[in-house]
Amino acid sequence: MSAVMFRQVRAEWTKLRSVRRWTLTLLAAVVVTVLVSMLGASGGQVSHIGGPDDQPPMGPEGKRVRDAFQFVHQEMRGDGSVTAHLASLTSKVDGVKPTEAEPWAKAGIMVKGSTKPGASFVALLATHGHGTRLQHDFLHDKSVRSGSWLRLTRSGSTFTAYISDDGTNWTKAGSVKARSMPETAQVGVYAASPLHTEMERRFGSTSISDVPAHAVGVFDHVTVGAGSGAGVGAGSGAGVGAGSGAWTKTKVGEGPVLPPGEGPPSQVQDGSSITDGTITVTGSGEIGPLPRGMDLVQRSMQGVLVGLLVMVAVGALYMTSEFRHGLVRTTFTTAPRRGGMLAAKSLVLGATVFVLSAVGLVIAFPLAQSRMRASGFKPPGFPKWSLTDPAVLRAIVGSALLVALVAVLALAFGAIFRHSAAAIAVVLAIVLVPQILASALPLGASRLLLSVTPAAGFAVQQTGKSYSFAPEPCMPDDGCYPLAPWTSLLVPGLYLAVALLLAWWALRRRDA
Amino acid sequence: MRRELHAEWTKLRTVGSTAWLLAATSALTVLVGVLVMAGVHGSDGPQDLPKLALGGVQYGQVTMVVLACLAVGAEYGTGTIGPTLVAMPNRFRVFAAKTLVVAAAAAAVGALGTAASLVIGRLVMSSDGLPPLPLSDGPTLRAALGTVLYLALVALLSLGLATALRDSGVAVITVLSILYAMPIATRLVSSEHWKRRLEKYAPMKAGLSIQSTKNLAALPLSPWHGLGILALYATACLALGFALFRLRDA
Repeated sequence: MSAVMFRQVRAEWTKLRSVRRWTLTLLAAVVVTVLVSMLGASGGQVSHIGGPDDQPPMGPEGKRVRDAFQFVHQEMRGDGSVTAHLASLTSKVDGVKPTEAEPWAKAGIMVKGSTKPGASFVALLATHGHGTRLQHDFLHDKSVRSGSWLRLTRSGSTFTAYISDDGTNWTKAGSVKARSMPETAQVGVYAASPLHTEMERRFGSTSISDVPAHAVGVFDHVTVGAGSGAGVGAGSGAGVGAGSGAWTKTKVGEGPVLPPGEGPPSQVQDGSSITDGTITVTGSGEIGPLPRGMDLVQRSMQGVLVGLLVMVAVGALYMTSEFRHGLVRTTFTTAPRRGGMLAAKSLVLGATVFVLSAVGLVIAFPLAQSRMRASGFKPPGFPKWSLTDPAVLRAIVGSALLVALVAVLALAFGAIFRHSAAAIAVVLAIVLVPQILASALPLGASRLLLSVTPAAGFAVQQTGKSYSFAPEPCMPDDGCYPLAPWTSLLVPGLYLAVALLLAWWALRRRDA
Repeated sequence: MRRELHAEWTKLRTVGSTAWLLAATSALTVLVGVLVMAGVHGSDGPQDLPKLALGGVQYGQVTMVVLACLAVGAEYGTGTIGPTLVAMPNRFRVFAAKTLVVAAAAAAVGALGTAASLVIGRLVMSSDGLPPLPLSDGPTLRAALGTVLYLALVALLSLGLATALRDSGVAVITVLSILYAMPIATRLVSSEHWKRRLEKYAPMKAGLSIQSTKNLAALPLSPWHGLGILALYATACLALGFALFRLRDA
């Protein structure tokens, strides 16, 4: 930093800190952030806390998972391979609109450590609407080329998937390493389908209803071959029953449970049948990560929004008061480089606001979390978050950055308009109004609005990781923002860059 | 009273920003409403079309708030409040004249914006599977008239608070926080009971229930009841503003 720049930064810092009204307002913003976060977190009750009995199973990577499907399997010792021809896959949905199909209805072949829910697995499967996929250990999913013949071979803990259109010419589709596959594994065919979500959004209110759905997979030429399965075509025998033993039918895990009294009972039942070398599997359930559920981290940071309003006011006034009191002439006389003044002001304000917001959140977060735990949002039903979790740190640092970006945005608009009322109104219009409109607009429009306005940055507070293969509806009404956490900050960043350019141009072009 | 009205009208009319703030209010209202209407498709299910077409007022009101705050804030910012009170010592009349002028301006641009939103909204609407936007049936007319009143009430609420706060910047941020931040903050309140109660009585949400034309039974407040709540807020702010205007030195 050059000496001139250093002097300018120091001058601007003196201006900011020596106006008592602003110091008080900035401190008030911190207090408001903490108080509103605590208020927002208190109240509320948990109607059903998951007891120790209905805990979701623990996956191989130490995360709770969903694991429910219909499995027709036999034992396989050591290395080997399983091959099957998927004759057909149908999705059956018991919905209001029976024509609909669940795109994630799936059927395929699987190697699984045991039939215990949560055991490590590798599966090569076809889906109704998302092509053929290679999945393993609940959290990993890869799209592969499609074909009706599927084969998985095991060599130690490495599993290789092959796909063929005719059962003779095989192409390698990928290989994965399973986390903790025992020597003796269960291999076979399976089918599963998550609940089908029917969403209706009318008159600004949304109704989401989940209806039972089943996948029906019809397989033939199912073979299990022992020995080193690297060689293509290693299947020892043709037809059902080959391999090490007879087929067992198992319903793994608990299927999806609908809230009582919702919808008619399902007309399709899980089950499987084996006739003449054809295995028909009808299954429901989901194999994958747990749904995100309520984002407790986001809900502990509601004060950010209110703190942001106060910071915006200071940001705008920090610039406009220069013009209002004629101070700007003195400023430009002592340091004639106008861009320098803008840079120094932005730097001082941004850093101050960032630090203050971060401090506010570091205080607010544990308090809000303890209030939430007091009203029932506690383990085992809800995970416990602490300040040192990377996701929480990201949410706090990201929120503070967002507030700083928006405050500097207000400063830039202050230089463009030279009027605090106009600057504040514009900033609030592009940061707050989209969030209001979002819950009243049709879904597509509201998602667009929350992706292209600076309000998109609030996505940085979200901690729920979303997996493309276990989709969940993202409803703006529930505080869900469509962009990924860090990317979302680029949007307000872009607005800020444009506003700063305009402000620099306005400062240079106009007389002070 | 005529003198005061004339003076306030002249003050409002001759400021450069007034014209474009009023124009921006209408333009934003129409623009957002038309964009939303152009984006509605039959596949979204049945929609409350007049409400969507008039929804732009949620955007347009921003500039109206700025105008109302400036109408009184600028007097303190530039110091013209001194001459104003020397020339017209009766503070009630001055305040009443300001209220009337601002309300009339808001109602005028509101009427323009509302009419244009409905007419253009009907023209740009896609025809696949949607009934045309009704223009002359009772509920639509009620929604349109209510939108005009809504804008006027928001302007009065801003005017009252700006008189109390005596600074246009602070007043703008206060009013916009009340209007916009309340619904966002309440969206995440964990307690269902408080959430519903806060949502029901938030000024913007309550006032905008006048725009609903369908599914009225599902509204937390009936249309006119909701607008009445907003009118109560506006009256309270005006009373606060006038009380402080009367009690304090200028």
